[in-house]
Amino acid sequence: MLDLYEGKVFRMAVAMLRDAGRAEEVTQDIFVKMWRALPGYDGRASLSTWLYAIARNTCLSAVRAESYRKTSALDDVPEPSVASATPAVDWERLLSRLPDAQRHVITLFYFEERSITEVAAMLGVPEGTVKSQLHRARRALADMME
Amino acid sequence: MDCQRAQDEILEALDTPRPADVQAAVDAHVADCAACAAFARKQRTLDRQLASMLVPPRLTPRVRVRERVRRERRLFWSDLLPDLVHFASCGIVMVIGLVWLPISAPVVLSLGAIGTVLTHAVLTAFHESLDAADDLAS
Repeated sequence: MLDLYEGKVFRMAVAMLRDAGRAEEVTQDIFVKMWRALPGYDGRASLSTWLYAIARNTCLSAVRAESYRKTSALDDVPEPSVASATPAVDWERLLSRLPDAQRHVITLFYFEERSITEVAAMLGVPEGTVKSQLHRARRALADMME
Repeated sequence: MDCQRAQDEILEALDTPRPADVQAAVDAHVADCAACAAFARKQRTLDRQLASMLVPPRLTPRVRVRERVRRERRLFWSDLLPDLVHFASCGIVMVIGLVWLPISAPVVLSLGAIGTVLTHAVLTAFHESLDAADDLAS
């Protein structure tokens, strides 16, 4: 389970949290939650669907906690890095201007080597939704670059 | 083919190769339409840039996730162990009672079941009071 999904869950956490360090912590939390919830897994959904649902909910909680922390601290912290290995340029700012759903889709699309099916499974949405969000994100990014 | 459809197909082609006839229609439109040609160029450039920028991140300390799950597993068994020992002990006492006591089997089993439930309740209450004391201390 860990071998199969560790990397995917981590990439999902990076796409949603936009902070590789925080994403590592959240990835650990996700697998611990999964381990605790395993006795209650009823097999109605596939194991990956079930795990991705736990991962999404955990990431969303972490995003909410993070935005609450930033709001209450009133500090002007720069946006965290999406891919720390690459120079930020203005991509960071451009991506941060996209709606969350579009940003998650476009980030995961490239992280998952352009697999619409995989992104749909990870985000728990139909493939058509992934495609339309992807197209909107591409149009929006192209407009922003003008 | 109008511009809207051509642009949709250009975006679609970035994810999924289009059928030959559709691609030919798009190419014909793009050859005649400067706006769609610019759109196609811009989207292809954007796609290349995003692909080079959004590289899949690697989970560096892989062992940490395993370690956390392993620790959790140990905690699970260490939490469960007292109950397992308790029920096993009660079972052994009941078997001994069935063999040695001059009382009928249903009575021994009933008394054993009542004793097991009561002692389990006492043990649970005891553990919870210890946890509560720990919480207060921390």
